[in-house]
Amino acid sequence: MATEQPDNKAYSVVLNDEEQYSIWPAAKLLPGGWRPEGVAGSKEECLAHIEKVWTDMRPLSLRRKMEEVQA
Amino acid sequence: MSAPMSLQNQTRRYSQRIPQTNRDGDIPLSPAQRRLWILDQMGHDGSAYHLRLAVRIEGPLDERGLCWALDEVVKRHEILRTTFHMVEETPVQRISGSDAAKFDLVLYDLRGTDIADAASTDLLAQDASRPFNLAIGPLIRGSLIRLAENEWILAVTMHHIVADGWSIGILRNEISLFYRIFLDSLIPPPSPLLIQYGDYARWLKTVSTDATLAASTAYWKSTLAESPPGLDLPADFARGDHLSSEGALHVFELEDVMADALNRFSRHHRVTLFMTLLAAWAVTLSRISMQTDMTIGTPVANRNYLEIEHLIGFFVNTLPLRFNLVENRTVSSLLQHVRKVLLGAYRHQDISFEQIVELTRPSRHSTQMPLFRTMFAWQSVDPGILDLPGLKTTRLPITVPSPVKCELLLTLRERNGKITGELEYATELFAEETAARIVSCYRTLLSDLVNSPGQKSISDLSILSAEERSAALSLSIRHTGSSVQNKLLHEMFEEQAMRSPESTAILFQETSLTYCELNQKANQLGRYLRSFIQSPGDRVAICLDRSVEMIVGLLAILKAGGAYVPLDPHYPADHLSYMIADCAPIALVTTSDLIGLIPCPDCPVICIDHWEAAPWYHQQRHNLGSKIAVVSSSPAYVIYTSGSTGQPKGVVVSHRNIVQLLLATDELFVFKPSDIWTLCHSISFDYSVWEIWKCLSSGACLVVLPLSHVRTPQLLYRAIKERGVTILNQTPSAFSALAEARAEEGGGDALRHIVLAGEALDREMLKKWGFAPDSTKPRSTNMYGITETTVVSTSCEISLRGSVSQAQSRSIGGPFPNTNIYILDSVGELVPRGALGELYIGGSGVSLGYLQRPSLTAHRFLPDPFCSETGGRMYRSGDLGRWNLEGEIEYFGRNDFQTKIRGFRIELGEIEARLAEHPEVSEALVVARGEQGSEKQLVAYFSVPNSIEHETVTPAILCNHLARLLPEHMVPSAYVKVDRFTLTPNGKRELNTLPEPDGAAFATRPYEEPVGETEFLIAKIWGDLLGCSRVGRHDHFFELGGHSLLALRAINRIRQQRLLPISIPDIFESPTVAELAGLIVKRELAVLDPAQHLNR
Repeated sequence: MATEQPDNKAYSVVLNDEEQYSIWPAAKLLPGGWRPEGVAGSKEECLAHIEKVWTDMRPLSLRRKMEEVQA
Repeated sequence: MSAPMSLQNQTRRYSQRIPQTNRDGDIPLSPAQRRLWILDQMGHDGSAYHLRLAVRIEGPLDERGLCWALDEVVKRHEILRTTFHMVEETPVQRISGSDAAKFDLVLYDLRGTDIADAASTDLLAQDASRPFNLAIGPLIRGSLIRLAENEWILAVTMHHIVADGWSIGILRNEISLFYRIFLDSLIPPPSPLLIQYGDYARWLKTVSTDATLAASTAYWKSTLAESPPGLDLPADFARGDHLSSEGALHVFELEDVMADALNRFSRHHRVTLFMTLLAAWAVTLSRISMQTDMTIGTPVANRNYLEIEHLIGFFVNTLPLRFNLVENRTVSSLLQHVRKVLLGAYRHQDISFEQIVELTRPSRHSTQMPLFRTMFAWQSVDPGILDLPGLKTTRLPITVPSPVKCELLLTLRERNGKITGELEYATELFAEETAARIVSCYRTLLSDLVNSPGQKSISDLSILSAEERSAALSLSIRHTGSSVQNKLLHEMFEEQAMRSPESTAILFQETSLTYCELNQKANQLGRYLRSFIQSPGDRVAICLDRSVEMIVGLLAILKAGGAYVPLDPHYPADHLSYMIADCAPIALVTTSDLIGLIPCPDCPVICIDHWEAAPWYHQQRHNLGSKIAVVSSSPAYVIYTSGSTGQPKGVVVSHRNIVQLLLATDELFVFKPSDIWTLCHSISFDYSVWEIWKCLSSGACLVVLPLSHVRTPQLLYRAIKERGVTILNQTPSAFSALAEARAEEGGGDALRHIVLAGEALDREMLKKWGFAPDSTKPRSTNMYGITETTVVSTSCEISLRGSVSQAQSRSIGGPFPNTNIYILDSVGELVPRGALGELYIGGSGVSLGYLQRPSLTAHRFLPDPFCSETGGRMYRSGDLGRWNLEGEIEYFGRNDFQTKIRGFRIELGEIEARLAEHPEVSEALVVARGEQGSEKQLVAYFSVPNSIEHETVTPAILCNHLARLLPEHMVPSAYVKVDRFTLTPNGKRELNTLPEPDGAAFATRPYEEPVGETEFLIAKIWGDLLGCSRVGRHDHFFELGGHSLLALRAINRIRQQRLLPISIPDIFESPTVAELAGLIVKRELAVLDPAQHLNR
């Protein structure tokens, strides 16, 4: 197998409608249903940012449903 | 090489001249001739080395003139009158006089026959493939077939030992010239040749000892150091021991605009067209194979001196070009790299390919081409034309299939601004559609390349045409199954309980529960647990021994709105503490005897072993209402997976994930309420999710087996028999042990479906199950999946009978309904069918992610750009695979674990399979051991069948066994016997407890004196030839430094002593003194006993 090449590409922090976070190469077209969160940088920088901001990992629809019931 | 070649515009470097010599006597062979001569002696199919020329001639041909012209060519070139002989153990060439020189031409007249076309095709095929006798000659011959009054076909066949592709051009030109002279004596004859091939061969011998070769020697040694074995292209069909198949051609032509663009692009980057085309070929091959360090052979005309320019003869040389695509990652750096590699190779081409092979001593295993398996040839030279006055000549395609010399050979040529090419492929390895696809990839890459700026990364270049892309996509995204309902996992069970309340749901030893009883108990406990749960998906840890209560507990947690976190009480305490701390459960369900296992859980502990005295005993038994809003995206369970590195991580799987799996697999399996399943696996291993919930949602009975049964194959098999189990789920390792137990117990089970999953399948093991070939039961399915995408994602039917091909043995089938599997390259683009890539899994099985690990989740769960659903995610599996011809996925192991030994990519599973074929091996495991940074070593672990009383198997025996079946780099150096393989709690083989190999494990060949007259004779001959003072009976000819020419000498000397028909292949197949002696003795006996001889 090819040796894993060091990844020096630029990435963006992205999230979908369920507010699930991921990373995506900045140069590539972002798939439908995903939007950039605003932060971009190296893969490590993006992942470090996600570690800080994605505090509630439940999908948004689940969170909403639970709030509805509690309200 | 028959396809010729050429050299870029090279300056002719040497001013020294090749001297003319007296060529009356024996003349040495050039190294290239010697290689062909040895191949011929070894009995290789000679027609691989036939060169052909065929042309249709229309008009009033003067047959006598053509015959005269052909004779003149033979007169002019001594090499066409040369034969080859062995004199004092050395091959020599001899020239016969020019007086009697006649071209060996057969005339056929098919005029007036209505079968002229068919007959001529047959004649041409015979002419092309009839073997030459190198010692008798002639080594050029032809047929002139008259088809009609004014229509002929001329076909000429030569042995490669006397000519090359360039020579065919010379031949065409000279036939034309002499024919003109015949018609018009005023035309001047060609200027006489200054020297002949014999002079060149002599001269080579004098310069080959020259010190100037030292630089070339050093160059090739360092360039090819630690070189991988050519290119490991994933083939459609299994590689055999020899590359023996015929080749086929896929012919193509580039559009004119593309040819222009390529020329412009090359000028812009200051490289030749050849370099651009070669760079693109290297990238294409690298994409298909995922290999970034590769060696590609290229033929060079090797006509660097004026005096040999007009000689017919075997001059062409083959140069191994080694490319490194990791360090040269942009378009312009790759082009410069290709340029540097080519120029370096040209500068050091004064050394023959044969000498390079000797210098670098690559693996001698016969399945491997030395140094490379693929070639690239560029024809820029004028191929000559047959230009006969007053006649129209058209070149005929060579339609006769010829054996290939390498796996893939791409030949490209530019003529009048047009670039045409042909891909010759070994039909034993590649299907026609694969060859066509490779060419399509190459063309797509070229068109992307010419439009790319120099700084573009080569991994961003596309090899996927629009059609190929949609083909790959349609494999990835198949049918969608029944639409996923927003059902919850426990609701699936509750519905089943309604349908069959009185059926037995669970059986554990003497205890059993009906569906109704199980449901009611779970409802009671669930009501109690609900008081602890604050919001849906709250985690409840469950640590129970195998029992009926275990299933009640799982169901109760789900009904209460929680997600269960299974903790296997047999895991080490540290491991359990870690998981408890990591998942922070709101409660722990366990029994009083296990409570001590988990030190101080920081949550309420609920012991369920005293049911009657428990607070939930009086709870209501009907189903719980929806007081807590559990929805289908709520977590249903969290299962920990241990990555290869770092801490275990919890995978959060939703109700929707698991419910879709249960529904999707309904379409693939026929499970009935009358079936009896077993729960074999720990609830900490997600294989249990399949066993429990697939069984209980289909109304079948789940037999929970005690741990002792699961761990002991005999007990497990007896339980299967006694309980009448029909559906069995196993890891291949566990199944293999069970198959042995079945054989001992004599069968008699009621199994109707065996499902294998959890590990890569070794189908060799399946044979040991020993099913009758005609029985239709049981069916068997292999499933592939990962915890992160909900248990299993693909399946394929497998046969438990008969043999399986290599491709079948790698197949994991196609994706389940609602599951998408993408095979992607390093930049996340789809790879074409057939190419290697990494598996990404999308669709409704993609779980919620890793518990409380945001960055790890974001790293592995990525936006899915291929699916129609917006905002979808796909999981990066780290597994390698490809789509095979049948549209199934072939599994190629882990991306990160793949072992490399001495630069070779090794598939441990393949070695294990071959080792397990040995009759005294029941199970085998091969690992690559070694400290980080130091050379890794293959160590084989094996167990022997219980039925064998006196073990005779030794490391040396196993080593020899494997050495016969596998390339040398795949043969482990150490062999350790283990009584049995311990399994991890998940049923996979435990690697950590395997012992280090000690001295006795190594298969050494200690000196052992030869036994008997024949062995002594062989040992003496080898010792003399190889310069060894002492040769033992187990010494290996090639390991002692022997090579093919020495082998020929050895055989020759043995023949002189024993008058036996032994030949070079014998020494390759029986390379030790004892083996070869055995073979000779056997043949001698056969000669004495003709009956036996006939059977040989």
